[in-house]
Amino acid sequence: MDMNRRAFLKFSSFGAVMAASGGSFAADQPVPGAPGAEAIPKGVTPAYRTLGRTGMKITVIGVGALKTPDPAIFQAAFDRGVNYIDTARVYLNGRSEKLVGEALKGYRDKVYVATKIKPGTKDQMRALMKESLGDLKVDYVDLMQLHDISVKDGVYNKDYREVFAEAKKQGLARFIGVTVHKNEAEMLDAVSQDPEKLYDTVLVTYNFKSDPGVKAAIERAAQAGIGIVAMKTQAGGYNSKEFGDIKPHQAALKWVLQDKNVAAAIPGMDSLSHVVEDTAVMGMMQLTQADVETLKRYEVAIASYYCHRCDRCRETCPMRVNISEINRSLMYAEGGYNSLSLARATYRDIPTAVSAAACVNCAQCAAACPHGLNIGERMSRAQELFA
Amino acid sequence: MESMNMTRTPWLIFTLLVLVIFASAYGDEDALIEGLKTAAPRGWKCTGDVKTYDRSNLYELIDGEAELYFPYGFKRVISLGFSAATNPQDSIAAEVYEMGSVLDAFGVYSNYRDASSKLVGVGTEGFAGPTQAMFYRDRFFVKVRAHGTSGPSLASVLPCARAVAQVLPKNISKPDELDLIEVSTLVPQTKQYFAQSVLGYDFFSTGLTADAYAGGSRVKIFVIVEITSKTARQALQRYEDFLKSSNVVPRWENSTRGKMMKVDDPLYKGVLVKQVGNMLVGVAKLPRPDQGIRLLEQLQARVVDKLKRNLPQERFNVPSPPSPAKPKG
Repeated sequence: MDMNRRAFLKFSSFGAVMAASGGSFAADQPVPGAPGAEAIPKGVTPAYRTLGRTGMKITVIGVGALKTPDPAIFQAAFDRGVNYIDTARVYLNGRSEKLVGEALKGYRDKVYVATKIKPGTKDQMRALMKESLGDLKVDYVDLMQLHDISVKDGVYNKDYREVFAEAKKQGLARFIGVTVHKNEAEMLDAVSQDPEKLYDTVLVTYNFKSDPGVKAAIERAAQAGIGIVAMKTQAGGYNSKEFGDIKPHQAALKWVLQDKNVAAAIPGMDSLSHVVEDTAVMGMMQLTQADVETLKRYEVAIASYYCHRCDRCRETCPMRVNISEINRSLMYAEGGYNSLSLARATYRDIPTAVSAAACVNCAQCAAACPHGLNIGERMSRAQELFA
Repeated sequence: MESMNMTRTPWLIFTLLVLVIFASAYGDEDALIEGLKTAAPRGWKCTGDVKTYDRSNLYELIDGEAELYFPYGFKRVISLGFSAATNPQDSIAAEVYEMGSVLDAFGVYSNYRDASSKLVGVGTEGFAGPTQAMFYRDRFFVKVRAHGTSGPSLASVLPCARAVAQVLPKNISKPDELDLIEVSTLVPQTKQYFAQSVLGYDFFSTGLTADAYAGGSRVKIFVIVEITSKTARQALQRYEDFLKSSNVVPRWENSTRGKMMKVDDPLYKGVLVKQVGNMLVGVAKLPRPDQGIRLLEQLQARVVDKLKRNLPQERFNVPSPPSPAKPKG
């Protein structure tokens, strides 16, 4: 069985791409003896960075575990050399931690495990930590994080600090950190300016559309020894298949990893193709001019593909077609949502008199659209899809 | 003038009709929110802090987890809180998610529930832990959680969950589609519905999975649902192509009803799979592929039976064929 998996990895097209690129990022060469080293299939060149003052050498691509449906997907990532996995107590009501626990069988000594618990009372948090370790089937985690802190008081809350410090002291967690979804710069500064230097890491929203202030705060935090892991690196993760040959997801990961203050990114991997696409970035991390162009095109593509709902088109439409709502339906069918049932449900709410069927192809709407949306084509597509 | 009136009349009737439909639709929404506000069990009251989130701001409520809901036809979530009359510090938060269909609501629910979950009598199916309960009913998925200093327990959460369930539509039927994946050795509470990437393979777009026993081993059974038998064949072909690119040679063998494919899948060990109309049925994680033949036959019989009874396909979130048109940009 192992042979099959490795054979798959060896012969996959991305494996070939990585072999060809040969890990061109000199500062991120493989670390002999680091977790994951034994599991590296031939042709794959994982790259590692140090996670701040924890000293952990983690692969620049980790696994975001939220939506992964089966332990086999995690193991495919581990077999590609990934040595960092991030889950949370609340993910799938604890099921995510159970799936990670299953995946760790035979891999625990090769993979760093990070999880998170939500703030609560001291007793609640202690109980949650125990539940996490139980479901992960481990005696300790490498990183226990305080989940979703968005105000400075959260970083300096005495109860949280007591419970997390206690967990570290008791050996339930080797290191402790916080996770930040919004107000990123302020939270990064709060952690890095902490005189007690309690928290070791910050998992933070960071992508090519982030405010420059976040990048600066990441730099300050990294200089203070805080380990930085980036999440939400895809800026929405829209499905790009409708945009022709734009493949922005690897470029978006590379963009984040150009920032040497970021130790790793943790894209969600809910299918094997995600594993292959994301891990391939480790072998070709240089952000090329082509990547920059891809991201620019992606931004533009999203901008025009996703209707801004200003309704200027509707003002010119002789039939008063509800164009923005029809575009929203299409987005659910064809965009990152990929949900035909949601699209149909949304479209059903549009009265027939102002649905796509009422469009007379006069093209006045397209002329009025400030974002250059090809509205006539969109209306035809809606009729084709929802008729 | 008269002819203008003649022309206007149908439009007026139509407009009124549209307005009535809209009013009725919004009336239902308001009725649901108003009903939820009064859904507090004895000793609890709604705090009045009721918020509705849609696809554009769901991340404000469940940042990071929001994307789990979108493939399941997420429409909106109503979030509200209840506080204890005796100790206002203790609170219970309820989140009522409106999904695309009953099957979608089950799909989200099935991501949270597992074989060890303690089922409780609430909604169509629900389970509870020490301080929270989750259930689905009709097209709604509901989470109820306790917060507070004195730690309101399941004794408070469950009545609250039941009170919320009472406000939801009366339909308590499970989705018919779940019958597709019923076998004699099924592990209870393991059925799941995936609206995309079944088994983590992009080419298996929509379907059901469950755990079952075969020859003493716990294995995974699956039913992939495609639009037509042609697209089902294409999905199987893509699986075969993937296997070949992984240096795995699929073997086709005759079985009781048609041919089946036997493979050593790179991720799922022994796998048996065969096409039945617009569906693919299979057994994965088999230590030895032959162990799964009986299960495969049971699954096939189920699917054939369902196809005879003409299970409506639209209820599955089967993706549309790709659009030939490209957007500007």
